[in-house]
Amino acid sequence: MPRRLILLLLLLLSLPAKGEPSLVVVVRQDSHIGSLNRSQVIGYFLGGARHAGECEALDQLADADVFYEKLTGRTRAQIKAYWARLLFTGRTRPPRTLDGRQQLLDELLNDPQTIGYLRAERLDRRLRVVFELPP
Amino acid sequence: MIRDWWQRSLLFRTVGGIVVISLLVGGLIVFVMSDGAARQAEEAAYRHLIELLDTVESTASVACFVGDSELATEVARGLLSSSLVLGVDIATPDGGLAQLKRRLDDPGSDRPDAARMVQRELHSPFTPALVVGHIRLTPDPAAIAEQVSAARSQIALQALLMIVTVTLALILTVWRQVVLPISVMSRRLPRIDPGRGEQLVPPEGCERDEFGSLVSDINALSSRLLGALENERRLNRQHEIDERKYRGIFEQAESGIFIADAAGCMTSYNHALARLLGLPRPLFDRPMAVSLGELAWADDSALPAMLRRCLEGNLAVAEDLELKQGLMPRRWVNLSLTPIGDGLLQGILIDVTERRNAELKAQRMAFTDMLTGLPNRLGFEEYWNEQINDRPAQLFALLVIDLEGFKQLNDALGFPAGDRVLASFAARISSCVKESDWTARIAGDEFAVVLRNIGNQEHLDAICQRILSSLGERFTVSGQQTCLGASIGATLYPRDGTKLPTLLRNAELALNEARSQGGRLWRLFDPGMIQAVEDRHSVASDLRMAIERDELRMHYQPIVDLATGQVLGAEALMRWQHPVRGAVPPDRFIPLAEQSGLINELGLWSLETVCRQLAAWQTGGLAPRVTVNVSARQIPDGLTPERVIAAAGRHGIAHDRLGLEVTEGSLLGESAATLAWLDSLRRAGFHIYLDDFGTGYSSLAYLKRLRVDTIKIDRAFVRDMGRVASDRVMIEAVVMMASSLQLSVVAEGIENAEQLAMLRAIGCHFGQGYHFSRPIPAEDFAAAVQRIAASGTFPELTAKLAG
Repeated sequence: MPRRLILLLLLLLSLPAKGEPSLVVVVRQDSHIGSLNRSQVIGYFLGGARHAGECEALDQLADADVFYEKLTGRTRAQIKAYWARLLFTGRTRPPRTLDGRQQLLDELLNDPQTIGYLRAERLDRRLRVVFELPP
Repeated sequence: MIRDWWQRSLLFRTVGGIVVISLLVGGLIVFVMSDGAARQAEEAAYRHLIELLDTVESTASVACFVGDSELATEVARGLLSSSLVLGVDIATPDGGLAQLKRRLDDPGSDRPDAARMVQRELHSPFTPALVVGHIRLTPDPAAIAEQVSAARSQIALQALLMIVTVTLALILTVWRQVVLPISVMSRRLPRIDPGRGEQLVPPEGCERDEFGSLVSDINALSSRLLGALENERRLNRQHEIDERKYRGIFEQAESGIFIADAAGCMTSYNHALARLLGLPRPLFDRPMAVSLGELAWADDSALPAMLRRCLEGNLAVAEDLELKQGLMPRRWVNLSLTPIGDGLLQGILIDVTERRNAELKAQRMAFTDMLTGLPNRLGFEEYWNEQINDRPAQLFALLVIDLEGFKQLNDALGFPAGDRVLASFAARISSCVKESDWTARIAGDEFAVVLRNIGNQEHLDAICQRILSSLGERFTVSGQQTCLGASIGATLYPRDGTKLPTLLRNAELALNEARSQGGRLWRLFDPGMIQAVEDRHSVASDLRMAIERDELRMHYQPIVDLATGQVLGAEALMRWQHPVRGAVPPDRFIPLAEQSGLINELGLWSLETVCRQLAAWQTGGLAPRVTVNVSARQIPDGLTPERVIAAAGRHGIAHDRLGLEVTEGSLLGESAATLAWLDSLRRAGFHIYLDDFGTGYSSLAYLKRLRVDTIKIDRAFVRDMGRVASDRVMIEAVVMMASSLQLSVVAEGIENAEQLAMLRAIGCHFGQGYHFSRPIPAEDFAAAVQRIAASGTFPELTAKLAG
């Protein structure tokens, strides 16, 4: 009985204080990109999956910090430093960054070849979730 | 050169040793350490490569992750900037991103296996589990080898430096601490004169360390050596002095001195020995080789025996040896040998020929009577031991011959005459015996003769008679005709004994027998004589007790006036009534008393008894003059005039009533003491009688000088006066002479009337004898006086009285 109590307490503590929305990686409904795992997601967004297809990952400022942190466990600064090294040669570029979620949504819907991330409550039918980051 | 230095220089040797050891050890250290250093250098190189990889790993993994070959190339180029890296290969699983090589013209680069590759898996920057490629570095072996060799040479350089430093330090230390002090000491040592008390000073700063103690040890050693040297020098000096001294003694000695080996070969000898033995002169600078054995010894075996005895017994031996030297008279040497070790002998040789001759002469003299040329008693014993003891089977007779009256003759005529007489008698005896017989003079007037092979008594008798008659012959000495008799005692070997002392005693006994039987005859020993001697001996011892036991009696024999027939006096005669033997005659015990000295006691006893008796008679009306016999032995001290006077005074005796009878023999010496004794007694008024006149060897001339009062003619003349005319003539002469000298004469031993008549006719004054009375006890004396006076002995007197 005490054990269950402790587990419950731990569960409660682990919950975010204010219910943060989960982030999902989405594409247009007709995109050829199927469901992805984390590694594939990292590849799309951090330049490792260049050969995975002619697919462009899109960043959006609103959720970028949370996204990368959740995806890679690294801070935005670290990610920027990463990209800085790659920018040195210019062969690989970081994802194009859009200003807000709306622009991203637009871009996604506009081009099936793009992939982006959104808060889960921003989903609509035109978009298909390929990977979900738990909150 | 180096070898010379090596042997001479301690520093050189030390340095050499240190260098060699350092090189060996250093080489070993360098070898061991450079190997380790090389390994370490190699490892460091690889570690460096790995560190390089660490540095570029994240960039490389990013490059791989994104497949950015340019980035990879950039990374690779960066890596190549390290000299260690020869080539870099960065690849993803899909293919190589960058592959760079330095110095493509380098042939070593074709062989990447030459060095171990350094490679690492590259993981995705975001998914550590995901391998996104690998990076591979090809090290440059030349660079690594360069580093390794650099490390090696650095180590070698360090080691070399260290060795050089240590070696230098060691050399310096050794030089400063060891070589320098030693050289300082060795420089100082020869300049030191320990004889002047100088001592080695330790090097500065080393006073208290091992060098200091070495120096004090050296100084102690040097003073010890100095002491030993001084001692040695002193000994040497002493030895030199001794040597000179002994050499001098050796050279100057009169005795022959030599050193010889066991074989008798002399290694050195002195001049005296050379002179003694006629050897070549000794040379001291080279060894002699003269053997003692080659000398002309009379007895060849004596010397080797001496040598053997000396060496085997390890004792000093000495012996007289005889040398025969050609025609020279034989010589005697005394050789003493003393072992001195090492089988050597020291010998002293002295010429003892003279001593030896003197000894031989002395021996001859000791055995010979120089007067007669005959063997003496010692010679006789020697002869006996040599001749008789060895041959007990033979028969022989031993004679002892005694000359009678020789002493008197000697006294009367002096020793030279006596000696001549003895010599002529010795010749007479020798002429009476055979050549094979043996004659010796064993005492003053005693000769011994050994007659060989005497078979029977007749033979012996014949020889003895021949000797006696030969010795009895008259002879002239000092212008006087005289004769001596002799007596012989004989004993037979082996019948009477086999030992010389026994036989001599036997012969003496027989001789005594012959003498006591009147002399001029010979007697053969018989065992009864021993008995007689023993008898005499017991008589003598009994005589000592006789006075105490009152066994002695005094008898008196009257002396008669031949003219009147009156008894005028008496001779006191001692009688001994022995409790066992009965009456012992005076002629048996008086000689014994004389021999034993008891005669003095007997004399005093006689004097006392006579005086007492005279006093008794005086009161009884009798007044005879009584004479007491005085033995020669009592004159002058046994019976001093004072004692006689005292005895007479004690008993109130008028001195002229006491007479003292002395024999001719007791006065013959005419010594001053005797004459004084005689004079003082006569002056005191005592009458002196000369007893036994005519028996001894005496001269009438004596009578004039010896002032006596009365002469007593010996009984032998009286006894024979009827038969032998010369005796009567002699008595007449004595009486006439006595009358002219106004002496009285007493005739002794008158036994019959005929003798009495003849004596009266001659004009003899007094007489005594059995004809008148035998000696009688005092109590019978008065009666005897009456009887004599009344007897018809004097017919005319008796008639006159009667008429």
